Amino acid sequence: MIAINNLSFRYPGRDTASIREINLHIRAGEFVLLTGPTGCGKSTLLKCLNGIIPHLSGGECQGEVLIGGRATRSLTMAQLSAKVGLVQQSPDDQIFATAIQDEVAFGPENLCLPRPEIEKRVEWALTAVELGDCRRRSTAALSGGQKQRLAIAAMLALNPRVLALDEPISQLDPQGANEVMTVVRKLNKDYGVTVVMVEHRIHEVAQFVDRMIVMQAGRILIDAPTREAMAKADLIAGMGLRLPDTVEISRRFKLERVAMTVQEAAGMLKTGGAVRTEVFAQRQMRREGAQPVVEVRDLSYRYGKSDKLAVDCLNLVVDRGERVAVMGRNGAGKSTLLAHIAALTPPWRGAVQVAGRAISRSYGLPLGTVGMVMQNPDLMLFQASVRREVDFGLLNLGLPAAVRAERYSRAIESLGLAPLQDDPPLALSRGQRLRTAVAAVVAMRPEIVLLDEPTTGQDKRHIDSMMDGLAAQAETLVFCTHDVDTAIRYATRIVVMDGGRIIAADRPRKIFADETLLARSGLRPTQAWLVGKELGFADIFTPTDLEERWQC
Amino acid sequence: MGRGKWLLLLIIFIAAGGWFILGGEEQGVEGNVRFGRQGADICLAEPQAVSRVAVSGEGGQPFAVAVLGPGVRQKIPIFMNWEPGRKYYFTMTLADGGSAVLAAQSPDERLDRVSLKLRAPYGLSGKDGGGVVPEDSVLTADVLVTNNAEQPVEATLVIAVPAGLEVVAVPDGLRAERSDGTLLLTGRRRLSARNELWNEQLQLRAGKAGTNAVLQASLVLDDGRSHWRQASQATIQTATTAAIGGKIRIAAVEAPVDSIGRVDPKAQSGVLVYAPPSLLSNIWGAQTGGRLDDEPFAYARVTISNDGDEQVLVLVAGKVVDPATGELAATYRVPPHKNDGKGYSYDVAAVGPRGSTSVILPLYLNENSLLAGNYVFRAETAIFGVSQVLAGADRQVQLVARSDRPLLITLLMALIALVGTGWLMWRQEAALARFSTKELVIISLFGTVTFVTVNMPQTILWDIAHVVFGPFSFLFTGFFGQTVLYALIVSLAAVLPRPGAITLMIVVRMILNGFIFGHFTPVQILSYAMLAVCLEGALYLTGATRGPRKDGLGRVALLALACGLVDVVTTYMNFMAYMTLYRLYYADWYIGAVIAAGFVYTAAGAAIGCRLGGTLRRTATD
Amino acid sequence: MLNWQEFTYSGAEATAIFRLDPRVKILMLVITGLFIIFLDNPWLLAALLAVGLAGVFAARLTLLKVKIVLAVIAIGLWGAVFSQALFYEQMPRTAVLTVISPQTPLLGPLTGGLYVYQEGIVHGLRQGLRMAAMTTLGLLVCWTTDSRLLLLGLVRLRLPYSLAFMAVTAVRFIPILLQETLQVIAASRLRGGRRFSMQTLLPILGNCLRRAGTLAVAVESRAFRAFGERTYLEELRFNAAEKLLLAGYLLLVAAAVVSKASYLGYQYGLFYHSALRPLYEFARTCL
Repeated sequence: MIAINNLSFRYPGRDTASIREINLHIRAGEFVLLTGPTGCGKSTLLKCLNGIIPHLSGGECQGEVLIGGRATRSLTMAQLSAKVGLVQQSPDDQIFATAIQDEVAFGPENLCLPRPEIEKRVEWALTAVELGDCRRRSTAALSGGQKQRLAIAAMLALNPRVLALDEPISQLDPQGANEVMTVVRKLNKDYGVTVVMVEHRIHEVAQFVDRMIVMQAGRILIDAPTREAMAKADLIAGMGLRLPDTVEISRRFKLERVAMTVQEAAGMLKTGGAVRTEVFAQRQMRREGAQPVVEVRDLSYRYGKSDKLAVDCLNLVVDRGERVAVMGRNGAGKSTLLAHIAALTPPWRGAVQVAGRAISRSYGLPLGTVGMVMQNPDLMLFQASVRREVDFGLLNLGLPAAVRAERYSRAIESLGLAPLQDDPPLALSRGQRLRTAVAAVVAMRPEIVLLDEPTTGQDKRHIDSMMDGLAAQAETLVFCTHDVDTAIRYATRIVVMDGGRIIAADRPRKIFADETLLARSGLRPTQAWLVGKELGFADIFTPTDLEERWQC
Repeated sequence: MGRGKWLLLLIIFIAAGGWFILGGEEQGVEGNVRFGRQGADICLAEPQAVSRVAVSGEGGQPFAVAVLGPGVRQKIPIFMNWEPGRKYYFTMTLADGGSAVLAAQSPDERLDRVSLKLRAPYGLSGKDGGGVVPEDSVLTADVLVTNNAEQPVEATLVIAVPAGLEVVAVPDGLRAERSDGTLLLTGRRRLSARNELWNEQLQLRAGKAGTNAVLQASLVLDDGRSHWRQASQATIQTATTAAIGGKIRIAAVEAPVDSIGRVDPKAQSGVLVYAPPSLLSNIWGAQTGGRLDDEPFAYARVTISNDGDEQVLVLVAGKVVDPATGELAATYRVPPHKNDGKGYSYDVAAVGPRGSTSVILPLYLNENSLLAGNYVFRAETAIFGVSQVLAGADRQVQLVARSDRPLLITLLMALIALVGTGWLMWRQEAALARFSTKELVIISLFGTVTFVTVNMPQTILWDIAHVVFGPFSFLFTGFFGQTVLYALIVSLAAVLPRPGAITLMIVVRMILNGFIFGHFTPVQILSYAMLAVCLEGALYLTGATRGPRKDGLGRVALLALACGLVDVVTTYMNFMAYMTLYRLYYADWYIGAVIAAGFVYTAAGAAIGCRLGGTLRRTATD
Repeated sequence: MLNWQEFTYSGAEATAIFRLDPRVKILMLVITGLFIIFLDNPWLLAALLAVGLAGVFAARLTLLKVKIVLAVIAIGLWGAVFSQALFYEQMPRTAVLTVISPQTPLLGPLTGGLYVYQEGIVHGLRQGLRMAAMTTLGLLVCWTTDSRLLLLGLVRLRLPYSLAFMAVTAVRFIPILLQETLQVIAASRLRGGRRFSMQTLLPILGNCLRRAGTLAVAVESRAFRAFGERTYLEELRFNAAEKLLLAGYLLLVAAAVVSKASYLGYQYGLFYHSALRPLYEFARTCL
């Protein structure tokens, strides 16, 4: 189906080639995962499949890509569009239309197909991605997962035999990711569509794919069926990619075979031994003498008069030194809660006190009380250089020059931004932009730092370096996340929200052990926990837990 | 265009030019000349607007020149010394540039050696030198003695004032003595030179109504060789004011009429149109006069009927008043050096028994305090010498100040919008094919950003500001309306330095504004079209859309200036369009203030846009 | 803040006015726009406003939108009254209030005195009717037609498709960019920045440039602009009644505009014919 021979490509204005001498053959009906660290050239390779490279890109391209036996170079974009469909990372940015059916009909219309044919294709594509019943709805009202499915449908309407997906789930919540992966698998298995997916969150997709291709520095490093590829887990982990827990367990325990499922892993470990039971200090929910930083009392809020309550009679106390993870489905009220703590929204009913000050319509908070890192850190970067960005808040605080310099350099150091101080923030890489935004927030030394799903679309290494920097700089932290791993690693307490209410608040280990609670709030238990459960061990949440407490 | 067509065009031009130059030809004017004691009267068959009359003899030697004021005349008096039995040529220069010549032979015989003329009431030129006056009114009797001969003469004048009349004041040089109830006023004078005049004016008070008094003047003359007498008399009838005035009425008032009282069939009755000299009328070839203040701007015709049996001398005044206050309207005030500074036009008319007379009154326009709108033309009549208004009639007159400038500018905007739309429809995709899809998306997203950060806050804030500050809200809303807008435009030009990008963004913004706020009005479309054209022009000229440039301070200043000027032009044009299409009024100082504030806001926005664009360009290259 | 979802929700879609062909609505709006600038008769202007309002009610728009329409009319009228009360330049005019006396230092000589004129208020109301009628009709059309259908209508009226594509894209990103703007402002405020400054634009525009690349790839890989032409799923077809309505309206307006235009031509001394005097009279008194 796809044959790539000696393909090299260099972007215009770059010194080095992004991909070098790639040779690759993909059979019809395969589901291939293309992975590797950021900047390894995987997305570039994907763009070569549907002819964006070289037709629309400029740059230097050598070698050839054959789709169904014909070179992409010799095909027009229109012809290629009917062979390879491309779905990109951002669910919001690849949809242009206001109505669902317009988006799907766009491709066939461009191909000048007759109206009945367009109609047929729209119907089919939307049914295939399970959006068949909302043809006339507005695209703005869709969730992230639905948008990604719509983007797939828009491609399907062109009847491509190959679907190229560029990190399609990296910006989605677990539920949305699941929807998308289910649809993609269905397309692959039921409709025989060849799927090439670029994704660095291997743990989320490994179970679906037939074959894994790992790239590094523009070259293919590993190209093998999934299980075989996973055997080289050390190599993959060394790139900073996150492996599925079962693979990680296999790696750490040096199991003879790579476990791809919980059952496999458990089965192989069962013979091994037992887990040391460790008594975690049964901390009280509130320590005596703790200083509350945030006190939310009976908070209710709705956006429009006819809307339902975004938060509903919510109570929450965050003490100094706590790191609270707020989890739950999209629309559970997490962001609304953060907006209230940040005094961006005055409470409608109830009261919010931050650092001892009650927030009201007329009274906000003194500057620097609350720091907030938003879901899209790019929206926080409005200065011409990293230096000015980090200095902006400090200047506004009116601090003496010495204090300012001290805070500035600590923030820069702890987030590893020292070499980038004079670069414009928006020209930095994704991870660097996130760290810049965090540095700008923590430099002000707020009483409390809020993070609204900053992990979205970031790879593991970026998340870890950001969270480490934050943990070092900020005493009290409240963050929203979908990522269980991050929550376990950094939170001292987890607050689970659903329908505007807090349905549970406890230590992470307690929360993640409650399967019904997780299911209710759209979260999934970790594979490691499932393995532990299978083995009859409680309190295992990560492969590290298992490794550390494994007794032979 | 071929050479033949050029030639044809040239010929047409020359012919037209020649027609203009040679336009002042001699014209056929009919009339005759009557020689009198003081000169000659030109009596024309038809009233004419004559501006100058030059009299010359047979040899062409000049005798007299009379320069006449504006207006049409049928009788033109020329004061001159004529010799008997000679031929004179009267060359009349007409107001329209033409000229006409009348030739006349002077009589062979001279007139009386000394003539005596008595006119009472003075001004009412009845054939018999008499007339009807209101009771108790003051009238003037005018006695004129003229020496027509070369020799000196000793003249003794006796005026007999009968009992029915009372002398208000005896003029110096006349001696009064009473005999038989008759007052005799006697005076003596030597008239030594030819054409020497002796003029006496008597102020008389008329008596009770119903009296008839005969005023007599007699002259005893002595030239040293012989004695002779001459006499003249005038009958003065006295009636009540009501009796005279009751018979006088204003039969019709018509305005505008032309200078000889004709109604222009094209003109709309009651509507005066003021059109200041403009580009359009220049192009159209209409004559452009100087300022109007000194020349009548239009004429009104007042027709007065007399139902009585006596000739009445009537003073007709035409006042243009403010309908709200009834006071003289400043716009129509007659220049102070005319009409005794009364501020309105008047004229005297003698209305014959059972007859009617039309008076044509000039209307002046004071361009300095010109205010269009509805006025009232008020015609008032009074018996001459009695300051009591007998009859009045009001006629509404509307003054339309036709200002071509807003109209022309609006038409220009419409033309540009039409051409732009037509071009877009004609060139279709070809025009857009120059942009890559990514560029199109960048442009439309800039359009959205503009909509979100300019139009939305503007629509919401503007409305609030408008409620409070009304027309002065521009001082506050300029930040969004101009600073942010131009910052975005200039930064788009920095990111996509190509002609056309700005236009596309403006079109997108226009469509958005139409779809979301329903702003689909012609004025808005015009203003968007103008903005697009001016911006594209300015940005191209400054080089902003001719490829990437480095942002030096000078370039920023240049761009700021260019954008500021674009805003000045478009704002001004928008005002013109609003004035034309929505009939709104704006004071000049207000437009000036809006433009000045806009310039500052815009220039600031453009300067910020340069910086913004520079930063964006650096970040967006990957 | 404005709730975009609620704002763009079109309301009861079953009413006849929704079902009209978008081209009919666009053309009628454009025709009315031309018509209305030729009109001077306040009663006719008021009648057009009444038609617009009747349409708003007949279309059963949401209460929010009805309120917006009424607010827009009120504000528009008020704005016209406010400015015309001050700047009215026709006789007669009666000053009922002195805002700036000509004796005021600086402002007095500059403005020559500023007064509130009684007649200006009336004039402002009359001319405000023109704007109010136009805005109401404009809002009626755009709120009773899906924006995609409006664009489709424009495309059928020979708007280049690429422009229509740009417009759809622009509409689609309004709520997203609105949200982002608010977020940038919030982020800036939390670090002591102002509510809205030029710096707010930088991240938004930077984001736009980035997403433009994504969207361009997304549409180009779907054969956007692959051929000079394209087909359309949505079908627009005039029915007989719509044709009749449009033709009738066009005829009516054309007659009115021609008579008014000939009257204006006469007034401006461009063209006059005595046979047209009744027409002039009609235009002067009725239109």
